[in-house]
This record gives sequence, structure tokens and C-alpha cells, in this order.
Amino acid sequence: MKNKWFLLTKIQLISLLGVNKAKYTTDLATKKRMIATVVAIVLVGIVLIGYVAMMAFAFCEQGLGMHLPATTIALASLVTLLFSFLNGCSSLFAMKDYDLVMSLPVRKRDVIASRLACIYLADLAFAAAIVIPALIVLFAADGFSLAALAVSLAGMIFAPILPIIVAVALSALFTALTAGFRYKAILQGILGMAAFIGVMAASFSVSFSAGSEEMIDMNALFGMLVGGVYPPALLIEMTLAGEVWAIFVFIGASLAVGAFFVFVLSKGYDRIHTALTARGGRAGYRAKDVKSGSAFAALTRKEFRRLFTSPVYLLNGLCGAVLLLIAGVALLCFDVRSLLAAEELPAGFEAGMVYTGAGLLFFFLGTSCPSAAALSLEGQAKDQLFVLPLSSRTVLLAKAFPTFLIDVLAGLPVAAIFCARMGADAWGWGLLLAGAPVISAFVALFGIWLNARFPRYDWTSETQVVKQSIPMMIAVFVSMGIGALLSVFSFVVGPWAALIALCTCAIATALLYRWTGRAKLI
Amino acid sequence: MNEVLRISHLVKTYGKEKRAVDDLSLTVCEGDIYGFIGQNGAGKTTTLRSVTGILPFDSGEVYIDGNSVRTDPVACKKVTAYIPDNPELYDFLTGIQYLNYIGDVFGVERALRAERISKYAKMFRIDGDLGSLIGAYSHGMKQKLAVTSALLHAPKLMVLDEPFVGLDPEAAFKLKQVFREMCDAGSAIFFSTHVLDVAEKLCNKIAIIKNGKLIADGDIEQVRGDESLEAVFMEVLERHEE
Repeated sequence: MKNKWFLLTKIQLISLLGVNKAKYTTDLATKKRMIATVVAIVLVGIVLIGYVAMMAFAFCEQGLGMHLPATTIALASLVTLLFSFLNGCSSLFAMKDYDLVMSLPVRKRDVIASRLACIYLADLAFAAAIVIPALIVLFAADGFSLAALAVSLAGMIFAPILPIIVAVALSALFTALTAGFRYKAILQGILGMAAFIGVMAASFSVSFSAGSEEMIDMNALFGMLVGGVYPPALLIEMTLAGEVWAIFVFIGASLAVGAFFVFVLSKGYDRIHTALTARGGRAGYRAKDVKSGSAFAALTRKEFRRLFTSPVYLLNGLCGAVLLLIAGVALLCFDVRSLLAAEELPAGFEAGMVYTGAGLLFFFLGTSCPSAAALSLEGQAKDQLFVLPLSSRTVLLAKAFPTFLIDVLAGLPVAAIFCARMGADAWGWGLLLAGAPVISAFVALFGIWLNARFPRYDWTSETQVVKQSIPMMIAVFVSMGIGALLSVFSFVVGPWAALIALCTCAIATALLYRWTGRAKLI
Repeated sequence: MNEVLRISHLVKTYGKEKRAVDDLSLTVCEGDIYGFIGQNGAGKTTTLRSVTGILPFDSGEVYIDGNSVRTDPVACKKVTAYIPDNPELYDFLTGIQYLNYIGDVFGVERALRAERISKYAKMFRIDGDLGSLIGAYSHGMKQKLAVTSALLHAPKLMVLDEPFVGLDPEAAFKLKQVFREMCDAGSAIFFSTHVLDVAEKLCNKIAIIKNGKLIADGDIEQVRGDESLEAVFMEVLERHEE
């Protein structure tokens, strides 16, 4: 008799990315979408591998190759932790097949383990994309080392476990604490965002605490950085330094924490789920609850309600905007111009920095793109939308509007703060203040265009469309890429690069708006 | 009698081979309660979804109140209401929020909307639940809410897929009353069902579909003759057995 945990995991894996559906469907569009998904993932993987290889090359050039294994494992673990926070509990509690699975003769811990296994495998693929290219570069530069290979691979295999457990445990705790509240989704979103920001602040605060002695001793600095960013990664460093027991502690601790978490959660899994899905007693309505307004207002109101009732959608939708606002607050608190002036920087550096604002806006606002999942999130309710007497433009603009509003509300104040604190000239002020709404509109329409091109309505968990879908991946990575390139070009070339980019953005936005009138949603 | 729905040589194929609807033509006039019956997988839902503009079809035409679903879908949808067999409503909205949303989309004026919500919510006994989230509703309650929302704009054509599944007996009785009222006022009902008794008592016209093809249609008296609808249905299916 097959292990039931394996059977449960297998079912989830074959539905991952729509692979099984693409295999058996006769619908050509579905097969094409599957191919596009694979291509998108491969492209993202190539970009990531390229970036890691460049980083590894830089490490080796500086004689810091021995820190690569621990650094890459720390990096992979931190990203896993952050993404798992953003994922929240939706992979554990919000699966549509919950009733079916829990009615089967399987143990609760097998159900939980199968859910976690799927998250683990996705994170392991990500960890492999970071660790293996770095190892290849290391061996090419410094020669092959069996010890480094063995420790790195062992670390890579077990590294995702702890971050996943920590993030999911916190999410489960937030979920349990807020289960009885009417606005639980918003509370969970706020708690999740606070935890996300807290982890990032703690991880990166180490760079502000490094004293001048540590800055000179790069080895010590990296040890501190690795330990500060992700303390368990120090065990990898220690193993490679000769303390072999450390890797066994790393593996043992990861497995023990994982097993303990599954055991503890299995005791209250169904109670937490019931509390989450129980909606309280009956509630009638009053005459004043009957309101009227325009169709567009009704649609956008529905979209905002959708956003604020789904923790994973809310977290992913707001994280870029929130990070941008935090960056704005940091600019207000720290006198960046004085800091730059104190350093011996080349002439024109400070002036160049001023024009990077547009690129930075793009970088952050592009990661707040809920419109890239807005259409897919209709799910099986899509018929209820498509049967309504609405033009495609009305539907698409309503779905894009929340993204535009969130991004412009974050972008405009930060643009003003940036210009004020960086001493921008009139060009700079004009570019950024006009740029914020243009970039916001572009991001919103680009996201909904991607979602209309690659819709997915047969999801069983919101995570599949909010985090693992082609539209979201492309929207985020393209925006980040444009943002990074634009920052570099603006720094080097000056305001003309930003002006050309924003004009191009405005034209693209106008074309996307025109498309909304001709789009076919069915 | 004016036509409300005209389906003309409708064809819908899934993939390369499976013809879900094969050259289907029928007409529904004002005042008709038109029953659409067939086995599982016969093509009923595909037909209904094509009629309401949710599913693009390969060839043929569908006209609702004189407008083509292909070329003017919005005009068709303005006068149509569709209730699927398993209404997937928005769990994150309360019942009243959902009704307001539908009312806004159809441009139903506030006073009229309030009157109809009060009437139908009381009729289907969901007025005490409209303040709760739809996610907490049972299947039957969602069905009743979907019916209430469909009646807000007094549609010319109501298209329903298995409307009586999940409804309690009282709600089913009330729904039939609503159908008769609507038809008396000049609207038309086009619905699929497996419950032949209901079709027999309620409908004035019937169509039987098998493997995507219409094998019988017309006035119920003509189709049924002296026999029961069930007997005729079985006989017709056997005659068209391949």
C-alpha cells in the first residue's frame, strides 16, 4: 500500500503549473499556455542563474570564494522566508480540496506534510538555482573541492525547511489569532506585512552595524553578514572551516523543527480550518444597505473588497508599495546627501543619483501589481462576470484601478520626498511627479493585459495565481528589470534617459488603454 | 408571438473531434417556458452558455430580442439573466453587497431595486441572511440569492441550468410561480432540467437533445402526445441510439 503522504503530494504536484491539464486537454490554447509558463519559468531561471554567477565571480575575484556556500544558502533561505511570509497560510488552509482530502482515510499530519512538501520542492528549485551556479563558478575559479560540494548540496537540500516552518508557523499563528474576527483577512495582511518588514529590517540592519574594523577584515565581515542575515548558515561556514559536526546540527535541527511543527499543527489543524471558515450567525439587512451607483464603481468596489479579504493577495499586492513607502520614510530620516558628501565619491555621482528616482519607482511599483492576478481570481465565478452587460474596457479598467490607486498613492509622496531630499532640479521634480502616475498606470494596465493573455481560472489555491502564475512573474520581473536598467542609465546618461523611458511608458499605457476596448475576455 | 431567443444552426466543438452542439436550432417566444432536456453530457450546458455569451461558438447565430450575441453581446446581456447549475458567487461579499453590485451593473434604480430585493428575498426566505457573507451560505441559499439577483432587472429572457437542484420544495414552488408571472408579463424562460415531472407540468415547450443534436422539439402536447414525458423521452433516446 503506497504511503498516503506520497499520494497526496503527487496529486498536488501533477496539478502544479497546470501540467496534467495540459497533458490531457484537447484545447490547444491550454497547451500553449502551459508551454508559455514553462518558457517564462526557464527565462526567470536563466536571469537568476546569471545574476548568481556574476555575484559568485565577484566573490572569487575578491578572494572570498570560501564564503560562497554559506552566503548562497543564507540568501536562498532569506528569500524563502520572505516569500513564505507573503504566501501566508493559503497553501495549508485555503485549498479548495480541503473537504475532499480530509474526508479520506489519511492522517492529518500526512495532509500537512504533503502541503508543505509542495512548498518545499518549489523552494528547493529556487535554492538550487542559487547554490549550484555559485558552486560551478567557485570550482572553476578555485578548483574542485569535494567538501564544499558535499556541504553545499547537503545545505541546499535542507536549507528551505527552517524558513518555511518559521514563516508558515507565524502565518498559522496569525491565522489562529484572527480567525474569530470579522475583518480577519485585513488583520492577517497587516500582521504578515509587519512580520515581513521586521524580518527584512533585522536582516539588513547588520550592514548598518558593521564597524570600521569589520569593514577592513572582509572575512570577518562576511561571517557577520551571513550570521546576521540568516544565523543557521553560520553552521555551513563552520563545517567548511573544519567543524564537521556543524552540518549534522544544521540537518538535524531542520528535520527536527519540521517534524515537530507538523506534529503540533496536526493537533489543531481541523479546528483552525473550521474557525477560519465559520462565518458566524445570520445577519439580515436594512433598507439603507440598498445602495446604487455606477457599474464601474460597483466593479471597482468589488475588486477592493477582493483585495482586502484575501491575505495572500493583499500582501503580494501591497508589498512593493509598502517597501517604497518605507524607503521614503528612510529618506526622510537619513540625510543621504550628507552621507554621500562625506564619502570620497567621483564628481557627478550625487547629481547622477538624483535621476535614478524614476528607475527606483519602476522597480518598487512594479512589484505591487495585483491586476496581474485580478482576472484569474474570478475563478469559477468568471461566468457570473462574463454574463453581465459590461464592455471589456469597463471590466478591465475596473480590475486595473486598485493597482493604479495603490501605486500612485505610494509613488507620488515618495517621488516628492526623493526630489526634496536629493536636491532635484526642476527637471527632476517634473520627471518624478509626472512619472509616478504614468508608471502606476502602466504597471496596472500591463498587469491586466498579461492576465487577459494568460488567464487561469481553475486554481485550487489563490497562491497559484497570486504568486505562481505567468502574468505575475512576468509583471514583477519585467518591472524590476526595467527599473534597474532605467536607474543605471539615468545615473550614467542623466535626465534624458528617464524622460525617454517615461514617454515610452506613456505611449505604451495609451496603447494598452486602447487594447482594453478591443479585448476579448472569453 | 415575438421571438425572444432564436438559435440558428449552432455548432460548438471542443478540441478537434467532440461536437458538443451539432447544428442546433430552436426558437423561444414571449410567454414561453421552454424546457431543455437530455442526458448527462448531451450538450445542454454548452448550449446555454453559448446562448448567454459566456462560451464562444464555432458557427451559427444566436439572437436575443433581435440582437446578435456574436456582434452585440452587451445588448443581449442587458435583457438576459443566467443562473448556472452551481452558482459560484463571491464568497467575500455579503448577500446585499452582491445584490447591490448586480443592481448597479444593470442600472436598476434604487427604489425599484429595494422593492424587488425585499419582495424576492422574503419570497425565498433569505432576507435574514443578506447581511452575512456568501461564503457562509449553503448551496441552496446561493441558488436563491442567484435567482434574486437575476430578477432585479426584470429580464426579458431568463436562462437557467438545472434551477431546481438544491432548492427546498417551498423555494421550488415559489420559483415556478415567478416563472409564470414573468411569462405573463411577456418574458421567456429557457431552462435545462433532469426532472421530467417539473418539465411536464411547467413547460409549454420542450426540446430534447442527444449527443449535441436536437432530436425532438415543439409544444409539449405535440412532443408528448398521450404518453408521459418520461416515456417519450426514453423512446426518443432509443430511436436515436447509434
